[in-house]
Amino acid sequence: MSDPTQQALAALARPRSKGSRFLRLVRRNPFVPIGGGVVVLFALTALFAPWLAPKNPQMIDVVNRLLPPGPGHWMGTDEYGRDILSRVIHGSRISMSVAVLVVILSALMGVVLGILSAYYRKLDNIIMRMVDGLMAFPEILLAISIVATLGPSKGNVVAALCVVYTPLIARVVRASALVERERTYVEAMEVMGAHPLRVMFLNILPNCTAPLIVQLTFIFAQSIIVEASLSFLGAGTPPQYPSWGNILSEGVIVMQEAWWQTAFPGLCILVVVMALNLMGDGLRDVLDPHNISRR
Amino acid sequence: MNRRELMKFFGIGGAMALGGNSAFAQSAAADRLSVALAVNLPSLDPHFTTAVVTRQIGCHIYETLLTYNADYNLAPMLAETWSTSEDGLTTSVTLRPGLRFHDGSPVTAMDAVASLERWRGLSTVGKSAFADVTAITAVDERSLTITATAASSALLEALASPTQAAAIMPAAVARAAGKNEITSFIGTGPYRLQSWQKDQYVTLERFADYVALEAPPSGLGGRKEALIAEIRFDFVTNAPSRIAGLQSGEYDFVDDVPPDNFKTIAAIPGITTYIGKPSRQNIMFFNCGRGVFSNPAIRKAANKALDLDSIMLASAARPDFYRIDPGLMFREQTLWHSDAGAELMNLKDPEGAKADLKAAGYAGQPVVILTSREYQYLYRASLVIQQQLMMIGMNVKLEVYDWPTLLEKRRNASAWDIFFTFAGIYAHPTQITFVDSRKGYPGGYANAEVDARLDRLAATVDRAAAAALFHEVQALYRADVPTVKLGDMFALAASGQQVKGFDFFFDLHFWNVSLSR
Amino acid sequence: MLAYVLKRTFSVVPVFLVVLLVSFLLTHLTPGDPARVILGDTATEEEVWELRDRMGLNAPLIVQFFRYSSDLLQGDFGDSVFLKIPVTEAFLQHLAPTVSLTLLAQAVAIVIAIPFGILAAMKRGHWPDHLFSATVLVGVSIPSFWLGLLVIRFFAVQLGWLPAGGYVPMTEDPWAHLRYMILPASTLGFIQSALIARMTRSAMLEVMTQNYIRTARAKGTSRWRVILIHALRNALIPILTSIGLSLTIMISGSTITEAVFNIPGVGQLIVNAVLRRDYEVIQGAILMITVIFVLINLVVDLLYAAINPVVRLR
Repeated sequence: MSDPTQQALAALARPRSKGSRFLRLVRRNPFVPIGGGVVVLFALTALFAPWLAPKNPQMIDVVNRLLPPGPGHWMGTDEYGRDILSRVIHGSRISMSVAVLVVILSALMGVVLGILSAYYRKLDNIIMRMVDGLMAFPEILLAISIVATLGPSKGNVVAALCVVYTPLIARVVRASALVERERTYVEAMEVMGAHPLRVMFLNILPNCTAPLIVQLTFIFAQSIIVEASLSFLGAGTPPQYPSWGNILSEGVIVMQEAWWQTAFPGLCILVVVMALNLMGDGLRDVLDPHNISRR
Repeated sequence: MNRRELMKFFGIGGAMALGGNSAFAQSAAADRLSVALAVNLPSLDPHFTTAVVTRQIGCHIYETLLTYNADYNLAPMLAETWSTSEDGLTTSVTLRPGLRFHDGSPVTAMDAVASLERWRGLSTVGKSAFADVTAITAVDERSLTITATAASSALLEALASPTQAAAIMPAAVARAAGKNEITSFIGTGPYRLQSWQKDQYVTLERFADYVALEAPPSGLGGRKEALIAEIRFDFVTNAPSRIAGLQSGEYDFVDDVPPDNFKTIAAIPGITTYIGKPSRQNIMFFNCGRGVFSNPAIRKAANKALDLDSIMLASAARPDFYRIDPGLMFREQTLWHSDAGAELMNLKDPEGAKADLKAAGYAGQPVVILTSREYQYLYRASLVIQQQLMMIGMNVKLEVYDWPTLLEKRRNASAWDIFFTFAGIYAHPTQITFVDSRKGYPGGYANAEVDARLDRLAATVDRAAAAALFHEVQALYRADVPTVKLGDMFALAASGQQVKGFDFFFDLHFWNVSLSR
Repeated sequence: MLAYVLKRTFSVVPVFLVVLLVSFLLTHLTPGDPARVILGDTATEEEVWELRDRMGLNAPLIVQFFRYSSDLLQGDFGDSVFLKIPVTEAFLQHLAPTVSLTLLAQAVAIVIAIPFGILAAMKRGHWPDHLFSATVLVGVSIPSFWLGLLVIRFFAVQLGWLPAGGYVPMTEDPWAHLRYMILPASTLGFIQSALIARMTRSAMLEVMTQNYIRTARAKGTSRWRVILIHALRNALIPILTSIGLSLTIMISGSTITEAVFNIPGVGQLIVNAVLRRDYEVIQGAILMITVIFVLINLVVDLLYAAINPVVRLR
């Protein structure tokens, strides 16, 4: 493995200047840091929710139900008299962590499936037919059926979304891995007797990251929306714990009497998803040289 | 300005003047009442299902031999007269003359016999009330007799029960269907089925040959007139859609208005709101057979902690939409209602409960509450109760499922400790499903003394004596705390002001209702 | 070419098998009992068991699967236990609203997207472009149900212009049909227009840098003429592709819109079926949707292969 020729080839596989060019381009494209900043802000809120929330988000106080925003309750109270600000802050935990878990897990599974199927033609047929099968399901309907089957829990919502998004990632990774696989350095490394796993994950994979990262950003955004939509349809994370989707969908009934219960979580979803999309668009421009000429 | 507003603008004076003139309303062009119901219709077979929505629509199409008047006393419907023999074993019923089914055929005693035979095999109420019945026979075209081996006070009441009603349908239909659901929906009511678009709507049209009773309307009995030519029931499960539809004029009448929206709707000019009482009682069931709550002392301790007012306030949004009441039967059912056990409820004593809990030997065992968001008021109650029980140191876990899953989970006695449901109006105490241990209702409550009194009650034809027995049943039952009655919750509905003469009794019904657009 | 067509067509078979197995397992592993839902809360265990027996639900899973698959081979998707009609019939009944919603939404999307996409490309870097980008961003980021609720709140409840929800078939009353469809189609269309508009903008930008456009401009052809005649025509292929793509996305998106606006479409059919455990409908409807999806993809793939021979070699 420590063959110098192999190392030289491996180095060849990585465009040398990519890192510095990346930074330069990011600086030129303000949307990535703006979007990223907002996402980080929400991530920090989620992380420090117990310290940031002014009240216990589960504390019921029926006498003070549906109070409008004002001192004491800056986002008002819900139909149980719970403090909506605290619930929205805690809600960021579930909404963000569902999305993060979906991104991580479906990335892991999708990358493995995608690269294997690009590398082994025999597997390709099997894996891709499974992927086609799963992608043929409309995403929301597949997710609802899965949650209905497994029961409403955060883990099951994550599982459902992973089933929905893993095939997508597998496809994206496979597409760019197929291109990489045809490159001479891969052939050379195979001739030199490098272990297939090494070629796949240390050489091919790093060159597929750009489209992967862009795709993951969009999946992050989409997971937040789908989680909320599932809650709206009554098949989301357990409704007793605050997630943005849950707060919002519980507030639908009192939309006319208490706009604040739907408006604030709705705005949070909108802002985070916008930030993620901004970031994704920016990253796409930065990472895909083909796009730069267009912008 | 939309169509409805225009009509209001120009038509309001005329409508007022014509309010009492139903003959004119009948001939009006837009002679269709549009009603939004909250639940999808699973079946239109009145014998087959206990679903509320089947009753809501079915009561226009089908009729029973007997029914209830506004005082919850028996009143005639298809029957002209009825009587029970001295020994209580033989019941005779004579049909009114000249009755016709929707298909034009005459209603005969043979039809009634075939319908009752089918009904007693399917209906929960019929099975228990007709358990001792040996024969149902047609004597002639218009009379039939029901012969039993033991006298029963439940028999006539069961014939009048609006839920899983003993509806009379043509003998051919009843026999052809047997234990399967019927596929042709022919009744005797003032409206007949016009079309049923599954999952979307049902339309009913006036039955021209309907023969109404002479007696003035009272409860579900008396004169029934189809003043509106056509009724369309839309199934709108999403509450905000129902409300928005009422406001935009899509629907004339909407059922199940969420209590939180009531104030907003009531404030809109031209909208009439209805508070239907009694309608249902919300009940919390303990698992008496298994787990923590099989210890009565722990049930009583938990009950001591509960603050029913804040639970019901969360469910019903306003104090005037509920009442705390110990009755197994409703306060309006004056004969049966009892205050026994009132001193055991709404105690609001978390400190005392904590001590009792400790004394009862509770040591942090998990308590699983099964709940569902499909019934918003039950879900809200379960959240508040979770908090109230946690305050006294109970380790409470909420499991939220869709309603079918909840019903499934509930069958497994080791999967839960508490669940919630609501009960509608029972016409007779023997129809209550959860008190009599032999009915096998989830929760596994059994008290031999209660069962014995229920048996005696069923055999007691004298109503006052039966009522006294029932009051004893309630006292025993409440003392055991197998359930906590959270409160009576009233039905909320609303309509445009063009709907006249609506009267809530038992549930919705739209005969004798007119439209004045 | 023939070899490719055959190969690609047969590749559909395993996809269907995966879909069949997944949808069967999903529905039959779900807790909850259709018999219980039909009979209501107060029916006894005995009654429920009896009905389950008549519905064939007490048989072992594997038997039920083979029974189902063999029925399928004969084109029988089974009957809905709840609607009491064949699943195929239920599906076709619910297909019309979904197709109507999707097509109208697509029309709204195109009407919004193409002019604004072109405008943004023309005014690139100026305020119309920035406004465009911001709107597109909101369009792809807003949860569709929230947008739908806001739209109902404002246009139906506050202003009373249009119905808040519901559906009238086109065959019954075309004008009422449109009135009911305007709000849902606009909601769904607005969100979809973001995707198409974005593609329009970048396709236009790409085409405009091509030499022949520069030549046309240099020859003195008017700017708008160049844009509308020359550039748009050449940008049409990627735009059409994105429209095709959004059509398939929309079938999923319409589920939410149908729920918000109470439209009896395929999405509602399936969501309701999940909530009351109507096994045959869940399986059948999902299968049929998937068949439609897969066939569309197949046709698209074959068309691409016909245009571009390189694809065939892969």
